[in-house]
Amino acid sequence: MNLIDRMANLDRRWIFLMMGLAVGIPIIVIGITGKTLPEEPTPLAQAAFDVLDDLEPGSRILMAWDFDPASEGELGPMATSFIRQCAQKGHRMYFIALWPVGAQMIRSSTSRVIGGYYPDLVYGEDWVDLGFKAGNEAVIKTIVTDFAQYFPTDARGTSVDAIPMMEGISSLANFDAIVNASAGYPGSKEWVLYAATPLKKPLIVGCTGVQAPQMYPYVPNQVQGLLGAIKGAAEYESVVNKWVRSEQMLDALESGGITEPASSELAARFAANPSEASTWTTEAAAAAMSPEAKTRLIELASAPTPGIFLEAQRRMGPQLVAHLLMIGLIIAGNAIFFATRRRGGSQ
Amino acid sequence: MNRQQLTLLSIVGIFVILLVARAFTGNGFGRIYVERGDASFVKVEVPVLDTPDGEEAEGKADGVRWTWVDASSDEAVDFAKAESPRAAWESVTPVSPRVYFEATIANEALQAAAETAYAGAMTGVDLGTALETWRLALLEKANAVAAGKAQPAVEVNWAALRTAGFTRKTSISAKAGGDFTASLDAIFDAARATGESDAETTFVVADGRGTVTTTADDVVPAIGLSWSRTIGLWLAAIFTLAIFSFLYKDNPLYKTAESVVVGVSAAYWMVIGLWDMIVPNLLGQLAPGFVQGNLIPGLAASDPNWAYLVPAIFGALLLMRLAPKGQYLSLWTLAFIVGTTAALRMVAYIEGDFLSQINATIAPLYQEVVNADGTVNGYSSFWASVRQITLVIGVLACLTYFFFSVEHKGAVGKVARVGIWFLMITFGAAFGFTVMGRIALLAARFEFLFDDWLWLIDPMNQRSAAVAVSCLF
Repeated sequence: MNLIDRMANLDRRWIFLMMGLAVGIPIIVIGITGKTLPEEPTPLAQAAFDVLDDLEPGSRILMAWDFDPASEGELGPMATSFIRQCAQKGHRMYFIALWPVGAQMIRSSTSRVIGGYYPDLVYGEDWVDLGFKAGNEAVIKTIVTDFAQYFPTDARGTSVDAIPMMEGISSLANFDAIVNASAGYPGSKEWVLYAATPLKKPLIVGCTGVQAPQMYPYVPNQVQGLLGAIKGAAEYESVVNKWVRSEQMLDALESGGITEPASSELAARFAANPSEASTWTTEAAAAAMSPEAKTRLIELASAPTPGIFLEAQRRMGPQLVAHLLMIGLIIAGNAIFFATRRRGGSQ
Repeated sequence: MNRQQLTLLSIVGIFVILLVARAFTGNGFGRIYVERGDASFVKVEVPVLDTPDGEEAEGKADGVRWTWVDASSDEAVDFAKAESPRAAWESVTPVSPRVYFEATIANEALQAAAETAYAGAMTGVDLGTALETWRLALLEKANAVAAGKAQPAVEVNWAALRTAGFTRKTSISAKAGGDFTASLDAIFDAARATGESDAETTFVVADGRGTVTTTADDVVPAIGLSWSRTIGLWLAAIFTLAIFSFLYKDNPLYKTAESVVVGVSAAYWMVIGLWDMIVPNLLGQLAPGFVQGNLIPGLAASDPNWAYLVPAIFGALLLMRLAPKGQYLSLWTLAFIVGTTAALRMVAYIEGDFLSQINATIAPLYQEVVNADGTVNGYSSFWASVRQITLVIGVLACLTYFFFSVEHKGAVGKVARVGIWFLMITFGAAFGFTVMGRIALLAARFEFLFDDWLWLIDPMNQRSAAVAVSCLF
């Protein structure tokens, strides 16, 4: 049996092993070194960010977490970044789930982001967990006109009448935007058909790779921002991370006496290139800043991004290697096919 | 068992033995640590300040409402009475292993420092000054021993000392010498000689903090291993590997894991359906008083809504599928479900999919993109127009391919051929997205195994890097 025959009859378990190594080794390397691949946002990821960024602080955002642990690897990083942007911007977040395990996903992502990095946000005033409701698209169809019918209490059993941020919420029309992390049915398509289209509400969708091709036709009229699979998550994550760092440095600059518009320009510049911050503090333009403010600025510029906000970018390393392997296997498979056919083998 | 199977079994066996041995030595791995505390709540009457004049909201009798609040909150201080209902239980909060490791290092540093010599002067000073001098000296020693790996703390429980009769102002004169523990005893012996205190004092170390107190029993470590959560983590890892084992070949481990997933999912769906749907949305409407009093205290009390008997009956009829006779009754409910779902979807699809998509396609082929200053961006306009033209060609070509009333020959055949190309590109993109999604899921499981279970990597900085790497050796 020559090499071509051996390759043509290769046990598929060798392919599984190669794929396991192609995914596993980059994870270990990235986990130890902490280095991730650079991400440039596509217009869709940027649009998702812009929709939430353009809203006034305090806007009401419905966050629909329609996924389960099976798709947490793809959608978890999106959910984390959605919450981070809303929390940093000061939006009010209303979490609901149309998937039974979505309730756990809400608890997991809110405890990790709000509990860990925005502990000042008050439950019931800044965010509320309304939990899971069965009924699929019927839930959406109903809350378009009557929110309290499906959500008489929050997930903790507190009456919505006793929750301050529920005041004035009678239907979906009272929300300023809808953010949906979706793994299938019911999910983003149902939010498009039953909520975003009839109400003309801005809708941001983060969906699995399987769903993404189905969602593209809705952009930009019915879906304003679309994050497709882990690549979309990584792009959006990088935009949010850069923006949060910029916002924090803007605060440091303004507390140090640097006023608009110079402070905004500097914050954006340092967010894009953090190493410039320490150089700038030695220049004459920074003379007005106190030493404490300068130290704070340099700390913010050089502080590593917390690992929780790099999940998607970390997973792009294994993607690269695994895709290279797949491309190699496809080429090899075709080469073997044509070589076999030329020899008069299987057609 | 043939030689190949025996070899494989041996490799797996050795791997498992090494894994278990490593898990139970040193810092181990795959452990979940928690911090235990006390949660205490009290039910209070809180005035409703924003009730409109002349309007009493349901469940808000006499301008007040009942609510449970944290026993240490401002509301509890202001509104709780002696007879107010109270509830308390042990709270368990997961903490990262790093917190436990740092507490352990700090404990060891404090104990080592307490055994070193202390040479503080204790003549003609009061007890407060002597203890503060002793505390700062011990803290300095402990910090030196910890070498920056942890932040030990030393504190004096003055509340307990005062209860035992010690006061800060007691003038003492003790002989310095010996280690920190002996010096502390000397300080208190001197204080007893001048005062009326007689309680035993002690220095207790727990959770990275050393405490001088008289009530050693009250100082219990709050941070520790959670066996239940650790077992859960190991089960998750074992089930993950069991599912992966199918890639080698079908086996009992995989079957077991698969069956557990199916069983747990079914049970979970049932419980969730009961508590999130039937109880609040059906029973809560038919018997709101009962539900509020016994099942969901937070639900607003209201009059029964008897219209909900209709869905209750329909629901009961659906269960007739399980009955030996009268199964046809479930068809009424099914007919209702099919009819309403079809109607709901028809309207939504016509508006959201059909009309909106036609509307989005019928757009000028030339797309003009304008800059912020009002000038036309030629580059962006060109590519936007290319995109729009491609979209229109794709739609028309694909529609032609699916138009079977005309034979696909000549010009129609060529256009249909273009449609096939568009479809193939779409399927390719869909396949690419699917592969990307599956790899992301595999990466997430590997991250769980390498990070949470094996502690090989530490991207979330849950453990110090030194601890993570030491797991390899």
